[in-house]
Amino acid sequence: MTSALPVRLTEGPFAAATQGLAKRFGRDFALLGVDLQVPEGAVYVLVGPNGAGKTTTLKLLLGLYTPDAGDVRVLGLDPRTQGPLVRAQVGYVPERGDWGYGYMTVGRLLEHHAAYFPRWDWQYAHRLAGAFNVGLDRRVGRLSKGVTRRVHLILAMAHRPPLLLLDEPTDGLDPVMRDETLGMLAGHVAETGCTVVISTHLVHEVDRLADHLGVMRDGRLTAQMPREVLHHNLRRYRAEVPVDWNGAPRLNGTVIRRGGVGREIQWSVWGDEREVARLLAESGATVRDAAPLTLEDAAVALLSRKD
Amino acid sequence: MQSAVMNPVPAWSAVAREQFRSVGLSLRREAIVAGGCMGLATLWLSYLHVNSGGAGIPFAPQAGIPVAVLALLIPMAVWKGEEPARRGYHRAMPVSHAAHAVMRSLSGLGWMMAAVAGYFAWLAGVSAMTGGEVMIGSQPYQWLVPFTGGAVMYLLGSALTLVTAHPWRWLGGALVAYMFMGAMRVADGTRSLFELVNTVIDGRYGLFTVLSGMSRTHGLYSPHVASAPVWMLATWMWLAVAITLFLFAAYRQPER
Repeated sequence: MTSALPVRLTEGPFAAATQGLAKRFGRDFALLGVDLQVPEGAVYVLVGPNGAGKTTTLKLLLGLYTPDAGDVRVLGLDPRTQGPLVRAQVGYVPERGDWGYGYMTVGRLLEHHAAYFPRWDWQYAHRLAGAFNVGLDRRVGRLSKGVTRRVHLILAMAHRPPLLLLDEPTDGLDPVMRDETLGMLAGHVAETGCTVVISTHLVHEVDRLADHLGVMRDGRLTAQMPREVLHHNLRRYRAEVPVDWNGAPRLNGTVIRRGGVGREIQWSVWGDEREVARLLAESGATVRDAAPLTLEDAAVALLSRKD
Repeated sequence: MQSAVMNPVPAWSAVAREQFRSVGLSLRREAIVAGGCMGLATLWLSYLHVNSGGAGIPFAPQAGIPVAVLALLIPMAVWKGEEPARRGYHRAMPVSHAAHAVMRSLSGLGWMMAAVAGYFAWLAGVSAMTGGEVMIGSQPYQWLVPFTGGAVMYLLGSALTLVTAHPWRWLGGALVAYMFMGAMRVADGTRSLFELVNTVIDGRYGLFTVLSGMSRTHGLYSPHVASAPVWMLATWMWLAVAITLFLFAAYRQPER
């Protein structure tokens, strides 16, 4: 029955796209055959455990690394040959907070950054600094992790780039500041119409922004899809099964996660709801309900899938 | 997306100006420490001169040698917190990585040259204040030695800083290895290597000649002032090596 998890998107054009992307450090592959497709104007959440290859993917998009194989396009540009022009279109928040320049004040760091971006909007930068409650006279080296994160966000957003690459952007932010930061980000997206790629392993934090999800595991992109496709096709089925139930062999390959207690099963299954329910019924199970998963539950299910 | 609506890359002149300013800022703490030391030295020398009539401080080109040697360490201050080998902030800027690294390093070189000039200006002032002798030197080129030798050391230090995230470890390791070879040179295998290293450092066209304008030749233990052709050849050779290594490091930064 049932279709496999989608790994390619049909809609375009793409703000960022890779094809067969591979990157190796020493003998180990950090990425292998990644086909990332980020539609223009999307907020694409790239989810995966630590070491899945998310940061490497972002650095390849920026041209900070050179791919060992495959193709990369960012806004139609090749980061390998047009790296400076690519980076001029991108606002980047790195995973690591210790980017140096601790000897500068925040205001001086903004001035430094502005020298590299001719379309830097000082008015907007000051507005963001005010909203993020970041003092411009504070020394960068003495900032807390959360404030440093906000400074990085200002650096990334104030030149109004068409593409934002945010690597764990909420890392180190307290819940209140995280909420305010995501609100600012949502406002920025609404105002500029930019494309955003957010790499994270904490999906619930960016739930309200995401409209596309990509799942990375062990250097591979195992699934990517629009949010509505995910909600439509991935559901948790609660069903009652007979004592000697032998499972539902015809669902093999589409059950993303199995759970349940006693005679009640709770399976997350990918596929058309009616068909999945029919196959469960044919196997002897009595389906009680089929509910869509939250983005976080869906991400956890997809990440914990046993292949 | 059409290039017409794309954000432009910055002008190199704007980047160069900003790099020069930001490198100056990054070296501020070191400059304050050096300035403080020179200030204290000035006070101390003044005290000695006034109270005990100590000998005047000579204004001699050789006084710049320690500054030239210290130039090896300046790149680490220039790239302080940046760690270019780890692909940080500096590499995320919308300019060519290699040219950007060269630009930052050359900004540091500019500041270092200014520091050497400032040091000589201070020395001239102290010398004049204490009635010290002005020693022109037997070879006029000797006044260039701290600048050229400093440039060689700075470029070598820059190459090291660009290719490794841990330049201090490499420098320390090299020093320990050299001392170990010296201590163990009775063994045939290490003796020849030690002598080779010593030739590179202390030979006719060695690093010592480049940094001091002095040469140990003709079997004499005490060095003497090198002739202008010897110094020039040594300096050109070492500058060529340093520039090659520096450019290689800037254009071939490892990925990790």
